Amino acid sequence: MVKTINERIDPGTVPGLARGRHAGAPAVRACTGPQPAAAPPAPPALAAHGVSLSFGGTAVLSDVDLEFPTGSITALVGPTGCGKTTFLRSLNRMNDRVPGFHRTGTLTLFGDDLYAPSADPLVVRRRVGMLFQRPNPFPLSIHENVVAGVKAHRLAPRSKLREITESRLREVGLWDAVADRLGTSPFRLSGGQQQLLCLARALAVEPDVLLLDEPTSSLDPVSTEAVEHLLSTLAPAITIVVVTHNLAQARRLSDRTAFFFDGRLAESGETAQVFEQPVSDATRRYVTGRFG
Amino acid sequence: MSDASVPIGLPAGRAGSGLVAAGRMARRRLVNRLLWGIAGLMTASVGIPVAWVLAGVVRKGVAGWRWSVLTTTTTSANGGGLANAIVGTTLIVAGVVVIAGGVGVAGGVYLAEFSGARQGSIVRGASEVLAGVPSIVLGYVGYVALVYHFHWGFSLLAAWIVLSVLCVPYIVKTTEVALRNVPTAYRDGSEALGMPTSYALRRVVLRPALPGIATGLIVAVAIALGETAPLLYTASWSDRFPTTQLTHANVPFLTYPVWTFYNLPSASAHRLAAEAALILIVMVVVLIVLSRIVVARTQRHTENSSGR
Repeated sequence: MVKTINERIDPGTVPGLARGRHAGAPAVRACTGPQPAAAPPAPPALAAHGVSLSFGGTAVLSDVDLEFPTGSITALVGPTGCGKTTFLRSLNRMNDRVPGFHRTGTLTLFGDDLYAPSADPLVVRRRVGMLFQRPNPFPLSIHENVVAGVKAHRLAPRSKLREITESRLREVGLWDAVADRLGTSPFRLSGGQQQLLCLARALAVEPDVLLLDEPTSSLDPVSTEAVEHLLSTLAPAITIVVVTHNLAQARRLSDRTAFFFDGRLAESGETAQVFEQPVSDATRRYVTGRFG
Repeated sequence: MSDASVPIGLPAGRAGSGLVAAGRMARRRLVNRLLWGIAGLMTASVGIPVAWVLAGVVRKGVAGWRWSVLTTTTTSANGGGLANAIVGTTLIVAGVVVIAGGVGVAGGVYLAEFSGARQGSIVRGASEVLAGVPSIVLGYVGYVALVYHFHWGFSLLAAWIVLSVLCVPYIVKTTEVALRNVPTAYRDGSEALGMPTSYALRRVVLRPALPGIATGLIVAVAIALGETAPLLYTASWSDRFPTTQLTHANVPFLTYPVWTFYNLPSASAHRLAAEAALILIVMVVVLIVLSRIVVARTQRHTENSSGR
């Protein structure tokens, strides 16, 4: 684990190859490497082009261009109120029903327009999952929580549900703790366990992308490490976007970092580069702790 | 700052001057006692009359209690039992639960989950106006429109409709409030999983709102049980058992003897009035207990029941 972290922030490592799993995945290399390969590049998992977001005429974020290479972990950082959570929520259309929300520009998932008239927001959200700042298990049993999305989308027959619960809870490392009380309330679990349960619930619908809004800010350090470790193992299979106020977390967890400041995307790039050799002055002051 | 040891916000001289704040605490205690005293007085001013009325009704009802009240029908001389009225009230209330419960819960769900701001305020306003209409007015409208104009005669259907109109605003209000109190985290979580709104409502959001909705339904049923005026105009009264015939058949109900027989001279009529009141109270208590049990069963996995 520690070794992985060191590898990841080593500025000398080729970014796309930081994790061993990436080796031999040409699509990933093509997207994350500094120079795209000659073959037609596969579209990135998520991409924003000229995206501006506003609520009731008040601009929250203007003219964002940002790509999330497939299989990468991207951290969105910036001071409170800079628009990063709003941006995150528009990546799975969670702002659709917010009164006064308006968006211009295009957001694509593997090249498909997320906001196309033919795009079903329910399918968008199944493929682009989300984990929230505070654990939010449903008022159902632990088992019913894990398979809630699976049942809603009818992804598996009833007879498979127990299996899914077990495999997902094993995946997040919660199985041993809850195996004998799957039928009980999730609210007796600790905060960290609840967050892992929510993660299992999000993973159960097999998303391509996972959005995380400060997923560990309400957790203790040990739970935080469990969640971070899990995210780093999920990454090649699932593209991860994480909003965080914890710069150390952004640094040890992410391949790429995007710094939002004052309603704009101030800077984005390889995490090491953003932290070690920031281009913008605001970024430099933020990552070195001069403000924020 | 030269003296870093002084906590911010505390005057320098106070730091370390003991735990006694002269005078202040005695005053806080006094005000505390005073306010609790007033609250107690208020509780008593409501509780004592209620207890007095309840005790009176129960005493009169229990005093000459005959089990035959439950099995025999009222005689034309206003003696006999109340079996006909018990069946009639049960029929009326059951229908009101279905009609008003359906319309009211649907209305509350619409207001809390689906309506836009403008449609919402129109429906909410209309519902509140309806809640303010005196029941005897609703009864009279029901009489003119349903009993007289539609030629239904005194009937079960007319009673159902008028009582339902009376109950709907309460159920709409309590359903809406109960749903609005459900944490947004549940909605966000189910939306983020790609659940359709109606599915999320049924599977996730409705469950924590059930105690509130059930409470609204019980209040509505209690109102339906206790209403007299609208039923005088729409159900009238009958000495015989009611049938399931929807129109052209009078329906007996329990509040009728309480209201009418009490003003009659005969002792048997007085006794029936007291017994009807007792049966009504027992029915309300049973309903409340039943609903609490149902609610407790649905709350097994919610945050409230997780305990400790």
